[in-house]
Amino acid sequence: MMFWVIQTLNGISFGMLLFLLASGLSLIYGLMKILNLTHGSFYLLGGYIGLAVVHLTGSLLLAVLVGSLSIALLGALMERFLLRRFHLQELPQTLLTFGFLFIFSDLAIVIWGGNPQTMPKPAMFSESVQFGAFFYPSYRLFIIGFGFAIAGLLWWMQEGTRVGAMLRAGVDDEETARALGINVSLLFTMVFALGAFLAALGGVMGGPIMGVYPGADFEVMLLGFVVVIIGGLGSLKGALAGGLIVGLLDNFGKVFFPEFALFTIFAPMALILAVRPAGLFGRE
Amino acid sequence: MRSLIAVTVALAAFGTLAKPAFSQEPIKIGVMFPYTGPISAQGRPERDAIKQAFDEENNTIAGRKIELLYEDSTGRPDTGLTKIKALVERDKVHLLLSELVSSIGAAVAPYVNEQKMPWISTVALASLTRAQKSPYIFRFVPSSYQYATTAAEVAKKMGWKKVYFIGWNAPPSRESYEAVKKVFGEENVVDAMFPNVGTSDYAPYLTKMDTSKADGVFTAMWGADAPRIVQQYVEYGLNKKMPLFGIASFTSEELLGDMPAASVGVLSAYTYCGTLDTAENKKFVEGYQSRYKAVPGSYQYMGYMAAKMVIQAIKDINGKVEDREAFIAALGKVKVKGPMGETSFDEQHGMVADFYVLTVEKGSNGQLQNRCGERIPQVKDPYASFP
Repeated sequence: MMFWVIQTLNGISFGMLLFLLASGLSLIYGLMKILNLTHGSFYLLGGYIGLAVVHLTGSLLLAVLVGSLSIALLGALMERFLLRRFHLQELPQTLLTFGFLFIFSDLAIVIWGGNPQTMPKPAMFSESVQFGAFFYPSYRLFIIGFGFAIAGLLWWMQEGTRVGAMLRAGVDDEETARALGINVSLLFTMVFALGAFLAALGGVMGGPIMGVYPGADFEVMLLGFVVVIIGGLGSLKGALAGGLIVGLLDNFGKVFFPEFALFTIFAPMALILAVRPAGLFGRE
Repeated sequence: MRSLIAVTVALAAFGTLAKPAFSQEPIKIGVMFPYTGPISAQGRPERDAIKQAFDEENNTIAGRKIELLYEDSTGRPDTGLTKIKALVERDKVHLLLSELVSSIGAAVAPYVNEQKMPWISTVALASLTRAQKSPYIFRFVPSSYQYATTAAEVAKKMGWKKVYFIGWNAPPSRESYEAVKKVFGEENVVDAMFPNVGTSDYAPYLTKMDTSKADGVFTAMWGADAPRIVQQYVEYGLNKKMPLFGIASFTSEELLGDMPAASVGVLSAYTYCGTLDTAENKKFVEGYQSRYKAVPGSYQYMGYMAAKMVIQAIKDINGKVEDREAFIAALGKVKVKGPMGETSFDEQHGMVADFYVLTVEKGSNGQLQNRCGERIPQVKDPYASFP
């Protein structure tokens, strides 16, 4: 019994990191129709910057703030000065973000070297919690709580605030929103920055579990896309559900079919694409 | 006066004759390792240790200058083979002292055999001295069967009966698994897991181990993955339940810095133990530290000793490396007493060396280090069990 509980917790904690990544991907696509391939880089760079801050100051809190805010700024600059030029031109946008993925990937190797690194955990989470005969790392429990808190916050922002209402208006009908006097162009920059912020947050928070290493950008982005495909592009609910589903599938896949670990993620994805091409919560 | 001139001329003539005819030309050695990419943390230090060994000879052996030519394999077989071809065909090296990555070793082996190019590698691939064996290929590192059999036998002697195995989904780990099964019997290996190289999250595997009721866990994964799994092993409290036995260089000195303090007690059995108290080891460790400001581990040791073997063989043939047949015959017979004892090659050109049982402990300076336990003398590749 405890075995199942622990394995489920493993899956949920990984799912939460995927949610942080996928929610930004989904928000950006929902509003701007940009398939942002640089998202993996935001995750990786956030992790590296966070790591540098931890080494400098020893504070994970500071690492989270500096890491994710600096990447948010990077995202805002990218949107304002580059992506804006190709508004609603899918191919140039995709190629541009794909190019940046490679540039950032190599840049990270130049700056931080090729060796995989691990982010130290904050001292308060260094202990493990005991469940019956099992020990469970408290940091993972914290990640689960943190992920749900972020999900709640995003939900409230989208449904309960004026900015959220503007955002939803922009998603539904950009032209009418503009005609009503909503500053959609500012909204674009804000949402892109928010997406980058969330990805970098995932990179820093995931550092103590996943480590920060060259190639992580491509790896997590692949999983991020699977999450978005399962959950549905443009839907926050979908990102949360998709993140949890992929996290759990990945975990139990490794436990029961270790030889087919990737199959257990991609087979359900193919199934969902066949039955519901827009994803679980996506709109046609 | 005339006789003085005659003597002078004679001496001068003798002087030029006494030197080998090719003495002006340096001996060129191709040194290719992964200097970038995921295995650069092992490749660069190994190259540095090779350089140290030649520096100790003032880069001159049997009157000939030594020239080391570096190439970066990046850890990929296609790149590695291209660079080896460049060293052999463009740079015309006399011999290769290169590589540690299995997949590159497998790709390079047929080429060097065809070129009759002497190649001393530190690639643990068992096939290099089996299916791919060649008079020109020397494997100066224990094969996967060799180190895993030794590790399994040590654990069995310690009283382990039921064991759990986790290793990379890669040839050296699969071969290690075969060796563990052979020593313990298949029915006593409770379960085996093969995550991919570079897996960052071991949570599902660790929770499964926890329910397995094994006496201990063997791990066959190296480099940056080693500290990562130990870290998580400790977080899941498994170190309080089952001892962890790392196969081969799992607790290599350069990795200990990244391991958590709770790694104390992690076991392994391998050919290098950093704290061994011999004059040769002291010279090696201090030499490396003064040059590169880091503690050398098993990769550095392997590179350093492989270079020493080559140096001795060049001395034995008086520097005439152009005669490749003479060189490989000499290298096959070389015995060198190094930091860990005597090393040599067996009849199939695999490494023969002393193994030590290692336990991670906290040193007097507070840093983790390996405690050297029992010495297992002159371990050979078990060709009979694994043909």
